[in-house]
Amino acid sequence: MKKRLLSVMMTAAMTMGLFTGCGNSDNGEADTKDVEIQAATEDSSSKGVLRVGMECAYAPFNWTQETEDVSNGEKAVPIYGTSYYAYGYDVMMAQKIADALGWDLEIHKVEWDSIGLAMDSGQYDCIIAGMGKTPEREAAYAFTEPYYYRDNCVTVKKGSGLEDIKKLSEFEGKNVTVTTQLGTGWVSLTDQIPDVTLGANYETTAECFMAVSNGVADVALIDLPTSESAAMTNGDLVVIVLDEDDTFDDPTGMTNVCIAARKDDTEFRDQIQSVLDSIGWNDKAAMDEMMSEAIKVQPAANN
Amino acid sequence: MRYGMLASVNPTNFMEWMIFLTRKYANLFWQGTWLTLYVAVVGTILGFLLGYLVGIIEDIKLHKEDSVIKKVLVRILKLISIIYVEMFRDTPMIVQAMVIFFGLRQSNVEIGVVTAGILVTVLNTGAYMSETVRAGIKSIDAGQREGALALGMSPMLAMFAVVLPQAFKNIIPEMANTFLTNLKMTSVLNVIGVSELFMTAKTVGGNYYKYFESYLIIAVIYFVLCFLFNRIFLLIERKLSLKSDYVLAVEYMDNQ
Repeated sequence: MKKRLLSVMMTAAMTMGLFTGCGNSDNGEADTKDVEIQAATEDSSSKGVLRVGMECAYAPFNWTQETEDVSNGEKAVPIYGTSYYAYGYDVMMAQKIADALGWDLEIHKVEWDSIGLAMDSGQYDCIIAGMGKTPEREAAYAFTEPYYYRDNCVTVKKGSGLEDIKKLSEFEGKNVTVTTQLGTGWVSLTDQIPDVTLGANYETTAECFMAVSNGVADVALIDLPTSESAAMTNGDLVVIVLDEDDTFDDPTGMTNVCIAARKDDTEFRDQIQSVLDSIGWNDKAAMDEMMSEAIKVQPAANN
Repeated sequence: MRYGMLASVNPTNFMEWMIFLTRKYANLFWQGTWLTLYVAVVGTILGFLLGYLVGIIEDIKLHKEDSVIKKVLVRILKLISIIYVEMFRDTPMIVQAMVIFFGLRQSNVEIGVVTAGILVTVLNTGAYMSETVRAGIKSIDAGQREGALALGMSPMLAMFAVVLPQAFKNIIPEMANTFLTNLKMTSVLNVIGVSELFMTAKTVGGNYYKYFESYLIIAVIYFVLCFLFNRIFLLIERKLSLKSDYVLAVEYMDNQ
C-alpha cells in the first residue's frame, strides 16, 4: 500500500515536472511569441484596429458608463464584448491615436492585476491606463514617452489635524500611517514621509481613500487627478499638494504616465510614438487641459 | 434632462449613496447578477457531471480475472483522476483562474473570459464533487450492489440502476451546498475580467470612489440569491425524504 502511494506521488511529480519543463523551454516560448507578434502586427495593419487595455474603473483616467453620451457632447467608446462604454483621459488619448492612424478603436476592460498578463497573451496590443513608467516595468514592457505628467499629492481626513500640512518635513513627529495602490511606483516613495508607519496597500485607489476615510490609514499617497476625483464625492477627504521644494523625491518616474506595448513589440511602440510626435503630444499645458476636461465630465462630477 | 433629474438626488449618507448607485447602475447590477448566476449554474451542473464521472472511475474495482488491457486502462484513468483531484483541491480557485485562463491564452487558445470562468468552476466543482460522490457510493449498503450483481446485472448497470440513484439522494444536500459555494466563489473570477457581481461593484465603486456602498449593494444581492436558493433546496430535500418513507422495501424489512 505504501509503495503504491509513493509511486503515485512520484508519477504526479514527474508529470508536473514535464509540464513545467515544456513551459520553460526557450525554443518553444520564443516560437509561439514570434508567431503571436506576427499575427498581431498583421492583424493591426490589415484590419487597422487599435486594441487598448484599461481598467475602465479608474476615473478620471478611464471609467465605465451605461450610455454613449458624455456631458460635453463627445461620444464614449464601446467596451469590447459588453454593452457598456468607456470614457476618460485614456480613452480620449486612444481616440486621438486611432484617428491619426485611421484605425478603429477597441477598448478592452481588464483587472489591474492582470493588465500586463492579458496584453502578453494577445488580448490587446497596448496599455493606456494611467500607468506610470518605472524602471521595473520597463524591464517587462516597451514604453512610449509620457502622454501625461501627473503630480503626486497626499490625501488626509478632515479634522485629523493633518489638513494644514504644506511640506513633507512637517509630517515629522506625527507618526502617520500611509497607504497607496499596490503594484505602483508610489509604494517605493511612501517611506520618504518622516516617522511613517507603512500600512497595508490596496489593489485600487478607491480602497486607499476608503482606508483614509475610516481611519485605517492617515495618509494616502496617490496622484492629483485621482485624489481630486475622490474628494469630489467624499466630503471628509482633503487633498494636499506639497511645496515643490519639500516634497517626494521621485527617481522612479511614477509621474510619467506612458503607453505600454509588449516588450518585444518595439515596432508597434515606435509606431504609436511617431503618432504622439506627429500630433505634438508633448505639451504639458495641452495634457492638463485634456485632464481638466476628463475631470469635468467624469461620473462623479455629474451626479 | 436625465442629468438634471439625477442632480436633484445629491446623496449625503451611505444609504442614499446605495440607492443612488443602484438606480444609476441598475443595468450593470442586473447584468452582473445574471452573469454570476449563469457561470454558477452552468459551472455547477457540468461540474457535477464531471464529479460523478471521476467518482465512478475512482470506485471501479479490478478483479484478478480482468483482461490486461482493462487493467491498464482503468489504472491510467484512476491515476489521471487522482492527479486532477489533488491538483484542484490543493490550489486556490483564484490562482486556478489566472493559471488556466492566461495559460491557455499564452498557448494561443482563443478562449473567452466567461468560457474560461465556467471552465474553472467546472474543474473546481468536479474535483470536490468526485469525493462527495465516492463517499455517497460508499454510504450505500454493500448488499445493494451484491444483490444487483446476483440478479445478473452487469457492474455498470448495478451502478447506474441501483447504487447511484440511492447515492444521489444522499448527496443532494452536499450538491446544494456546493452550488451555494459556487455562487459566491464566482466573485474570484473578476481577476480574469469576468464582469460578474464583484467586478460590477468595483466598476461602479471606482466611478464615484464609493466602494463601501457599492459592496453593500452586492452583499444584499448575494444574500438574497443564496437565501432563495437555500429555501428551494430545502423544499426539494423535504420532498425527497417524504418519498423515502414510501419505499415498500423499508416496510417489508420493518415487518421482519
